[in-house]
Amino acid sequence: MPTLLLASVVIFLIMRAVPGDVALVVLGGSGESTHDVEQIERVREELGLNDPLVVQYGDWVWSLVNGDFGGRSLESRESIASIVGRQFPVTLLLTFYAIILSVVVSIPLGVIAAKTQDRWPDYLIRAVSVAGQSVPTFVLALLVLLGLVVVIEWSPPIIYADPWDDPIRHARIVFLPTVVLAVGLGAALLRITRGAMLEVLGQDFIRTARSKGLGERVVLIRHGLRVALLPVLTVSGLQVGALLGGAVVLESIFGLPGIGRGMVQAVTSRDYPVVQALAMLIVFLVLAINFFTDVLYVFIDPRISYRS
Amino acid sequence: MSVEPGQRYLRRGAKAFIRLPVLRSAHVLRRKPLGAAGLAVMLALVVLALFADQIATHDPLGQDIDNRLRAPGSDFFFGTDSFGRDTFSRVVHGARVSLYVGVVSVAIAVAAGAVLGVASAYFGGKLDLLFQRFVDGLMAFPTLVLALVLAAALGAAANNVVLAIIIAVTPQTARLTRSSALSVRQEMYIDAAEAMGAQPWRVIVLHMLPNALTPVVVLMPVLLEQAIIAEAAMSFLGLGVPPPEPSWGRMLQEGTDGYLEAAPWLTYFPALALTLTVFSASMIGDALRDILDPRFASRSAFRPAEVGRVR
Repeated sequence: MPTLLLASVVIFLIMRAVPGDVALVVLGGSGESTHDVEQIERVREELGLNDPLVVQYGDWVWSLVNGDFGGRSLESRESIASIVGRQFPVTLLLTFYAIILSVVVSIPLGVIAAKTQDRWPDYLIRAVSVAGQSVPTFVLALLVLLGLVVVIEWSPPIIYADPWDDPIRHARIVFLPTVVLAVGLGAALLRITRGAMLEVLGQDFIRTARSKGLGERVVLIRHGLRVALLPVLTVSGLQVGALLGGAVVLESIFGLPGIGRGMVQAVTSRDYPVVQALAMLIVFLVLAINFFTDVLYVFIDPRISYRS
Repeated sequence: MSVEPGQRYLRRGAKAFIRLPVLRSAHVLRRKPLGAAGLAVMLALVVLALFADQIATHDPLGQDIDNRLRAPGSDFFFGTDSFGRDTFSRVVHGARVSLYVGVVSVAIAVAAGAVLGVASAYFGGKLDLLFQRFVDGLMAFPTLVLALVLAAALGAAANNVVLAIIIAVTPQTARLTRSSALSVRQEMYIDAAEAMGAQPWRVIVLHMLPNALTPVVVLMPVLLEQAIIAEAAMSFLGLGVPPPEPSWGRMLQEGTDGYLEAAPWLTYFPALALTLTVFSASMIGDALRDILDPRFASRSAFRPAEVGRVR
């Protein structure tokens, strides 16, 4: 929460440092001569640009809290609240799918790699993981598109649909970006799961568990993985920022109308209230997911408790 | 104190840097084949960037209407784009853009972060608290998002991209330097230096900086990777290095925008160059970490360098 507030200060200061007069951008003029002073003054007054900086900041934070998100878009005059309402669920769903997919795929693979250390399944899994970490998300996305278009002459649908309106169309358009986004996170998770499992499997309690005659699956999952999940969780929390950074570019490539693409468009058209609001939302999402991973610790490790 | 102490310290600092274990161990090659391969690729890129004018077969900006969208062949190794510009020459010159943005922004971010981090650790108290909270605020942003917002504020130009990346990356280097400087600050030799009446700047520059820098050096290839991806992503989104300068990111954008099917070479050569660069930086980073920081040997679970990397 304090971090969120600090991030809002950062965003606010950056946007206020924009060289050039915002009022002129709003009026869409190229030079001062095209607008009379009175007009400029009116726009300034409307946007509150004549107030002291602290007052402007206070107004803005208050509008974030009461769901107004800082008024209207300079570009389309649409209220930012409605832009957010339209775009935020898309990004939320995309990151949610990607996190689920990468966890479901890479943690079992990491366990298998650790189990078969230095034999061919391990080598294969490690090679895939290194490759997955080396290709930047947006390059991977382009290569996947290229591959699909050239090899099987298929391209994904262009118009987005909400899952509650048209689940099949939603699945078809979201499938590729989800997979591509999951690769980066998945490769990191895989690598850490493998490392953590190797560390854990070398320890005494695992030998004890085996000597008690427990089945291999119980030893690996109930005793091994449970301990190994802690570092995995730590790193996945740290990777969330990177994940959302990737989502910004992916949304632009695949034409998903989420806050990432919305922000790129707003940046391009210098629509600063929208940039401000969407950047804040992204930070909010990062912090919310981090909070969620912190809560998960308690369930995985009984030694950790937030009640003190 | 002699007349020009600053210069002497600078020279000593440089000597300390050369004495870093990684730079003198020749057996690195044998022990870290992947790291060595990464280093070789990186050196090749540096050569490409430095001698781009000699290596390129055509003018990277020269348009040639008669040779539009040619497939790769003996005249145009990597084919040509819709303006008839030679993709090979543009990829070669793109190395210059990528490395320029990457190296300059990382160098400045590391220097600025080192000074800020060590000063924050040395002075402690309110200054430290205030500064670290500000860093918290900056670090809550994904690097790319912060860079995009900054680019929006600064406007599109190559050096604004550099500036945006510097501001986006410096919090990481400052935080890391601070935490290692905090442990260095506990050392006896710092107390000794202060007891001998050393000025704060002398303690900071001469005693704390060299000893607190190892983790930052380990992080440098990862930061380079981040910076290069950020530049490419920004240019891809049309918010980075402005045309006509050949940037890999923008070449990808131009190549995928309508030419994916007709001229796939416009996409895969810049993609290959970018991937190779990122791969080599990450291999160097892994090897460097294993060598300089044995606590995080490759088997270890936690990889601090992973923090906040742009994908």
